[in-house]
Amino acid sequence: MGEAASVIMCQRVYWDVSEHILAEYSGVQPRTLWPTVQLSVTVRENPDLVKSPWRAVEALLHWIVKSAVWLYTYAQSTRGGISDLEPDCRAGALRESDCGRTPSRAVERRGAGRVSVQGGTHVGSSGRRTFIRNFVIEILIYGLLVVGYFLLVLRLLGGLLKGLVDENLTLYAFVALVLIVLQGALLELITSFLVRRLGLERLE
Amino acid sequence: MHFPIADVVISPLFLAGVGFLVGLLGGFFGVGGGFLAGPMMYLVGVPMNFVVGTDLAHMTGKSIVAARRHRTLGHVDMKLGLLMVLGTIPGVEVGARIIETLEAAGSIDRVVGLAYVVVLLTIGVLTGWESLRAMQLVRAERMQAKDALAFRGATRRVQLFSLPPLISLPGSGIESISLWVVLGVSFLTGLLAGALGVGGGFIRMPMMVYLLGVPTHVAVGTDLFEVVISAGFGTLTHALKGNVDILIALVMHTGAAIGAQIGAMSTRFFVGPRIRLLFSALPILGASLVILRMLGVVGGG
Repeated sequence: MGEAASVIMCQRVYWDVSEHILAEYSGVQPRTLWPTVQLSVTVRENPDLVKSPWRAVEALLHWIVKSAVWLYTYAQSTRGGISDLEPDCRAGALRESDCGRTPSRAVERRGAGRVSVQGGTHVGSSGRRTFIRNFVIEILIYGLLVVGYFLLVLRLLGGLLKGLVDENLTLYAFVALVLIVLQGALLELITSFLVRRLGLERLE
Repeated sequence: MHFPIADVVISPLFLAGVGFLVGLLGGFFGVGGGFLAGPMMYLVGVPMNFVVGTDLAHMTGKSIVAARRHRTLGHVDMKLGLLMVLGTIPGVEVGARIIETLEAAGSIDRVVGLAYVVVLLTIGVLTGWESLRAMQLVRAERMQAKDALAFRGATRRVQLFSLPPLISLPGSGIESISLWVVLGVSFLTGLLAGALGVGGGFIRMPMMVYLLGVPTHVAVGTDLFEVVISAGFGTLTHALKGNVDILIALVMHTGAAIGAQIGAMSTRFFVGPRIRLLFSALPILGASLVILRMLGVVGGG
């Protein structure tokens, strides 16, 4: 565990350093840079950094948190300033009359690609912040679930899957498809359920 | 970490990172992302036969996530997606057969490579030019930002073709269009995808926007819906041949699923022309990779 913690610490230091270097070259303020850039740099320059799945999971979680922080910081830094951040007026998802408003409770789809807002309030920075915050929480929950799901499959089905490839390809093909579909669809449903249970507003 | 099915040792963090990047691009642009994930997997030692199958498997999961997210945002036209599948499948088959016939006549790698470069560069440059022009028109307030298109000529001409049966696509805001046009466009995209050996996301999305007149956001979501079906089918066929390492696909999907969610949600914050402008870089990047490979600067398959 100590070893894993030191790996994470190294990554943090590396991230911080790379953030400032990139900031110098790009002119973008530190803490608003895309963490993926840093992640790819980290991986390229430290190929042996992560050797076990557990360390990978820890690093991935850190990366998710970092992405969440980036997203939140981005939302904060662009408060009231981004023309694109009036999404649905332009995306064609909301009614014309709803332009300049943001969903405060729920968004209901009404066929034909049109969406109406229930209980909409004027777009305010707080509305946007709530939206971003809820999305970040949702992503964190979802991230934990997909990583957990993978570890579970690896631990419980790893050997079995290898055996299936050697003995019964047809069954393996269907199991493979089911596993990937479950990871995609089921976990998203569980996340939606958990998000609702937490009482967070969600765009649907 | 050792992956026993493909018998390779790869860092799961690397795979998740690649997955995240591909998921982000897929969620935002509606592309499968095979042009990026495939070479990356090959680069770290995944055998070529596993690269294609495993990429398709992770693409299936990622597209489900992104398509579901787009659907909640009202960006998926299921009817159009299903009709497009009907046209795409024979298109891919015909494209693949054309290549087989040409291959029997001699080596055509360079010809296909050149065709790939020409198609991608044309799409990239045209999309980039059009979206910049659309953004200028929006700035000059001659057009609403909602779904500004700088040239609608092609769309109008295509929609004027009124051979029955005529259908309506309310999800895409199209009142009336010939079924043959939809099938024809999807056949064409399938043909190009089959002939060039690609998934076809970055051909299909601009085709839907410029030829069928589908709003950009809906084109992205609908394209993803189609990728779910085509990649799912591809996964099954490749898995039956033993070409899928599902554990690698699941690791990649841990990153891809998160990236896809963020990518899909990010489309809410961008107007149509800006999405297309950013999108135009993708085919150009793909063409550059092929040029480098043809020149022998980078290897891979």
